[in-house]
Amino acid sequence: MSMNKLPWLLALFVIILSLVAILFLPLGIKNRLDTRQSERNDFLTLADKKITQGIKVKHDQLNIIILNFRNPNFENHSQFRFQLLSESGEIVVDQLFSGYNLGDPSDLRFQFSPIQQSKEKDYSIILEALSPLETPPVSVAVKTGNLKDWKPISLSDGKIDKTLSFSAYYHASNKKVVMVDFIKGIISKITDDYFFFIGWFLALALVLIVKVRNGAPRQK
Amino acid sequence: MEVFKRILGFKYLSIFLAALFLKFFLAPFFFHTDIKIIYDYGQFLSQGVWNIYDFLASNKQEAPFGQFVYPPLTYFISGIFYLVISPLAGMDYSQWLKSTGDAMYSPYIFRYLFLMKIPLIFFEVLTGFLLIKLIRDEKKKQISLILWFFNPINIYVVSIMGQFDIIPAFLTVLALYFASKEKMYLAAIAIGLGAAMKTYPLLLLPFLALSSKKSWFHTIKVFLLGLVPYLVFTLPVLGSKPYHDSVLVSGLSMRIFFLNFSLGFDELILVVFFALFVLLFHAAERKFEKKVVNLPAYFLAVILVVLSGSHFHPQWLIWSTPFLAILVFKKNLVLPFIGIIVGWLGVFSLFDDKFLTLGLLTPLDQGLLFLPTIRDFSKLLFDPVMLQSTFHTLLAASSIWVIYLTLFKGVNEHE
Repeated sequence: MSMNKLPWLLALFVIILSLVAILFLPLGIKNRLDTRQSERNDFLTLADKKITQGIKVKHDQLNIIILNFRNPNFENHSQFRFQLLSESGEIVVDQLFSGYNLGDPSDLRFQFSPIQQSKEKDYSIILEALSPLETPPVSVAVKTGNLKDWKPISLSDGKIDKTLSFSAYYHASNKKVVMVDFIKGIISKITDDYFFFIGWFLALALVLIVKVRNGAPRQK
Repeated sequence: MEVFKRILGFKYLSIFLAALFLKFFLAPFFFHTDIKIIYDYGQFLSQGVWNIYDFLASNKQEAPFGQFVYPPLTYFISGIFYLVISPLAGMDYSQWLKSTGDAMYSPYIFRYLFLMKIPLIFFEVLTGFLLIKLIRDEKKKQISLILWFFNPINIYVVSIMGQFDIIPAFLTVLALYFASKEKMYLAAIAIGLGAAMKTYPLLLLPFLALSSKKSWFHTIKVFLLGLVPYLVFTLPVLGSKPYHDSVLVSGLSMRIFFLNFSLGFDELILVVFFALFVLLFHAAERKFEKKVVNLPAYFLAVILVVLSGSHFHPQWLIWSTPFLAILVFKKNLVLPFIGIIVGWLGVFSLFDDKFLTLGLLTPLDQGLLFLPTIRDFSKLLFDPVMLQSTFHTLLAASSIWVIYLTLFKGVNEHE
């Protein structure tokens, strides 16, 4: 095989392998993003006041909520409670966690059995400290100010101008829907930064153009 | 126009273009947090921070990812890269560098990843040019370039993970190039600069010095000169406790001490150093006998000993690939070369860290975060610890065989 063709065949092989791997990924993915409030510019202490955050879920089978915490120097080992309450006040999820589960900072994943009919329903995330509080205190990531459509956090003594930073995922059982969602997601990401992708395509095209102009290498 | 004609007439252009096409294609889509962390800390250089270690220790809110764990030159280089990239990356780039768990959600992540990896790809290409200069046979040049650009280790470390290890690797090859031109002082400076980015090139310095064809006094001068760039960058921070704790005596630096035999009474035989000393005596013997010191073989041997005898990070293997690309031409070296690649693949894919495998694709879909690791799958069939250890043993055995063939049996002696 010509030494000019081999590198291109290798490049093509790796690219095709990567594309095939990427296309097969949705078959293994079971959890998809439901809703997310990603902005964070502050941390709210988990102290003596219960934190309540309202969220609206977009899909059935909600099963994961991720929050971001800080536990300075990993020193706090207090006990905390995470709850998810339905609109009617029913406790749907009740989980305990402690400072031992928390880094500085770190995401903590609360995973539970999928809530079958969660679509278009309002839920409340509750965080409270249980044991006698240690110092330094644990805190949870929030966004302060400019809440836009997000609901404000309620403390025991009223609402505050903050909203939790969180991600919520649902269990996706229909592989066809997952695949369609996956492809739509990629197209959406490309269109979100089309300026870069145009430049990127041009860079790849330039390499190919130079290759075509180069032709076979000259032999001595 | 003349420059363009010369570029088009470059004999190995097709190989370089194929490599660039592949690396440009892959670069935007794979994300490992290490590259973001290095650039995040690098941006403090533009704010006038010279001692990043003390700065992060005193400003913990600026260090969500912990201390800076590399020697100082890596910080300065990443600071320079940041200055070049940030105007192209856009206004949100600096903020994105500081983000934690939600970094993968940014709509501009593909642009950031591509731009951040461009300097690393540049050094990989530069190393390719050096390989052309180092090898005489035309056909071997082509094979070496293909091995260099298309081996799984390079593809993974540079285009996928985006690790800075390619730069000290380049500097060690530069040192080899200068040594081949008998410019030993320049070679020593290149090694010293590499050590100021990642400490491992210091282990290569004695062998570089011994490869000098001049007197023993010249050998000592080369060795001492190689320490100068390293000391220039590290002396200003040597008194810094954060630097001492996070770089000099960090868990990473100490790993080569972990493989040992106990003699009792708190004394140990350090296996990696034992092997390195044996190699050193072998090189010194060559010098005594006024024989050629096969420098790429010694560089490769030192690196393979370190990798075989320590719990390595996957990106460390790129320290060895330029020398493998120079030396692996004889048929009897192909099998152990494959053994090294397979061993490496097996070891790191069984780490309990999904961000080394499927997690790299989270910019495409964050649902990948919840997939089990390969280690989790392997538990269904086999003890993952034993499986990973088997792969590491394969890598170690393959390394020993390559060292034996290239250094002791003189296969493909590099002149």
